[in-house]
Amino acid sequence: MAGKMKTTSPGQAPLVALEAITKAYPGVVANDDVSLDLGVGEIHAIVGENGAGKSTLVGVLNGLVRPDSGRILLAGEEIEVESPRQALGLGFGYVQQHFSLIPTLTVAQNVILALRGSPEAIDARQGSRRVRELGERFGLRLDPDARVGDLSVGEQQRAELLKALARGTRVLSLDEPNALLTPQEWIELEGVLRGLAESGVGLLLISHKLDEVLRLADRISVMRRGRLVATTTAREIDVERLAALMVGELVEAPPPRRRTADHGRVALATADLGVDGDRGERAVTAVDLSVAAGEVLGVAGVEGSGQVELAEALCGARRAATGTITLEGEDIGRRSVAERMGLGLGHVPADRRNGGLVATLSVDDNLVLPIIGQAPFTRWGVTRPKAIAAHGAELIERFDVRVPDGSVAVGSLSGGNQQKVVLARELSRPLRALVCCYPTWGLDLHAAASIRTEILKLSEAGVAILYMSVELDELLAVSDRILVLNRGRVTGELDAREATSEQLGLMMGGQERSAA
Amino acid sequence: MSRLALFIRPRGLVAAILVPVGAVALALLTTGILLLIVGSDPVQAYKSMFEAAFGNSFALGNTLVKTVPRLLPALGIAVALRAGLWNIGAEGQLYIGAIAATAITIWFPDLGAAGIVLALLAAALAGGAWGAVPGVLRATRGVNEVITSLMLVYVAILLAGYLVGGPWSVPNSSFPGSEPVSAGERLPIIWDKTLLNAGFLVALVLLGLTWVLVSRSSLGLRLRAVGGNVKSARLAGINVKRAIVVAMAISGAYAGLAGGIEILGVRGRLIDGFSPGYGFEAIAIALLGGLNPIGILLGALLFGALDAGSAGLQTAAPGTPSSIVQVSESLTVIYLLIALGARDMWMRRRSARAALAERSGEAPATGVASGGQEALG
Repeated sequence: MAGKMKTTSPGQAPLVALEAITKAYPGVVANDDVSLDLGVGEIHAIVGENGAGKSTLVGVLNGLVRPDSGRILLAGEEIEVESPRQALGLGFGYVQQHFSLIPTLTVAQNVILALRGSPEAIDARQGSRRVRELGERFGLRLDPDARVGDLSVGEQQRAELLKALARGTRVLSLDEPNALLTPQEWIELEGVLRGLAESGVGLLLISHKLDEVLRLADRISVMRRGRLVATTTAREIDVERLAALMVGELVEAPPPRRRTADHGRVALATADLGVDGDRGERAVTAVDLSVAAGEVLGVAGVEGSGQVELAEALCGARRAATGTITLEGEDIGRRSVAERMGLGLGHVPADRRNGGLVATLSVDDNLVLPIIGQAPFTRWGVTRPKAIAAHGAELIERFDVRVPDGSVAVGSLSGGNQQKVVLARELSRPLRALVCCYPTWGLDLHAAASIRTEILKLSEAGVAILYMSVELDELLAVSDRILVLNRGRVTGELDAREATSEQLGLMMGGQERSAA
Repeated sequence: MSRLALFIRPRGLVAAILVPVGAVALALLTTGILLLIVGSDPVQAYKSMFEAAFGNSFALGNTLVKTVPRLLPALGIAVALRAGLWNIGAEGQLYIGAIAATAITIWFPDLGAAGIVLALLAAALAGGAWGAVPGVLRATRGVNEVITSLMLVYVAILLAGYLVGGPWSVPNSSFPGSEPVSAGERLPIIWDKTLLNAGFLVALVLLGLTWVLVSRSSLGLRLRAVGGNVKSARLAGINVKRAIVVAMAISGAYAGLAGGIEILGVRGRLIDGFSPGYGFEAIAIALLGGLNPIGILLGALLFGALDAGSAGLQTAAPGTPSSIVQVSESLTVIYLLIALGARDMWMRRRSARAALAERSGEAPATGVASGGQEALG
């Protein structure tokens, strides 16, 4: 691609630079000493797994997140970005994954509203004419009088872009701009973004889709678990190496799994399963899967590909919109969460802090929660603290939870110990099948390895395991077969002994054919 | 028990006591300044208020009588809040409870002690049903219980007004009220030469039961789980919808019972507008008490004493607006919310710092793969 390199010439300060940004949230360090810069007219892509810290970093630049330490330089001058309003005033625009448009207003009204009080403010009477001119200037085709709520997702994104650009944005951040677009819409948007870069706007682009990033970006930075692990020019790297950097090699290889060709009878299965997401969209479509006793079926997919919804539908927290779910041949699709638990279905939820545990309750209480109504924990509705504490102590010991004692609030534990509490609770019941979603997410390698070992032990004991992860190396290590999801649909299924992470990555990105 | 746990708990306890006590002290201080501004001597005013609230057995009894209708709804509000629900409508549930108790005394005036039990049960049931309505709407339709429970307050108050002005009105009476409760169905006085009635004992028993319910029952654990994290509770197999309805019904039952006690023990009949807003003050008391039964008892005592003391203010410092007491109560709530907000912010920061510390401690374990920046190309 000719004329792609537009990096800042030596000696000249970059358009904007983030230096040694650190931001910690309770239980997780989202940005750990991250430095990154952006030149005039440059397209700089940030790639990384879920939770790698990309959105936090861009949030820092745009005044949405206040860093704990680090500084921001604009053309070499240190600046404080304390609020989104201030960021806008500095010429920073941010198009987030979830749009901030008012659906009942027209495109023009949204733009006018966004510009109110800025030097570029548009008089409402000039309204749609001025907005149309703006759209033409930036190559964004849009009907200014269309109601935003009636627009397609791609058009809404163009409206959001227009809103940002109309303010004279110099630094434009885009969070997963391609996540919701059709290939055709994306190609069109690529052209718009290139044009913007040529006009001197610096673009920060967060994305999962590696081939698209390689095609568009000048430079690419890779983040992993809050750290920036590499910054490179797009010419010097390929998809495979990018994927490897993103995922990271496992230092300790999980213990090799003895994989056998034939497993027991089918334990957990779905047919034509469809599940709706939180916003009413169809998050999972027509999924047929089956896991045999003693088998580990991996499920690969990027964020929002339907893994979480699938897991929640299986365990009963989310109603299946279509299809059936069977456990050992019995239809459990209409059963409650508690009933499914009683039938031997375990679930390690995607988010241990929101879904797995109740942070304000003690470790003991969390461990006993699903079985609190049973003897010996309750008599005549009154709980028996000694029995609950003994139950907790036994599981704390068995699963090596590092905690002063079981009466400590579970929210005060480290991520690894919290996950052990979740596992202890699920694995201590008699199980026939276990659905685990991102069980090692955000854990250090030792904690991750011990969690994996516990889960695999279970499969050797004959439990069917559905193992969902975004870490491909992990899936390759633990699974017998791997099912790949893209936008809620199965794009393929591979034998884990033959699959490669490159192949899986491409299928996660929506390619149905396997790479050679 | 490790040393770590021993170290943390007393500090949490200290904070739990310091925050509300500090808020009350600041509120009294500010009120003192306001008293100065309106030309009263704050020291004299507080002294006379204290006299009227605690100065003799009659005053103390009076304070306790005024504590009960605040204590019970506050306990109920705390139960709902443990489940993450804001029962703003305790005032309405209190009125419905009062109506139900009055109905029993009107229909069955000659049952004696059994009538008292029946009337109080009816009060609790009616209050519970009134509270369950927002619970059902929340659980099945996602309707915000703050709005619905509050709106039902006005329905209940107006219903009481209609009854005492219409079907239950006493002919030739100068003010709207029902027939007096028969002597046999009045709650007995339990302390000679005071107005303290047996309702106070009922409230104390419920105080203990509340502790059992919240801290020592399977239902309480489920409610706390729902209040802590709805999603985690659901995934742990708890029927969240049922928990929401049950929590709101229990919450309403407390307030309903308070209404019944107020009729049978204090007013002796249903009167239009008999509550000066006990159910609303109870929200502040529940927060002031940190949702803890003992804390709530102290909070209710404080508000009851302020109420009883405001009479002393009138006699000792004529011309001082008695609404200064409400100002004082409101200031307490404002200071309390500020302090709680500040404490949460501080705890979040500390928790984030802890994560950072843990992260740097774990760095060596992550090894080469995620080491610093790798130069490429």
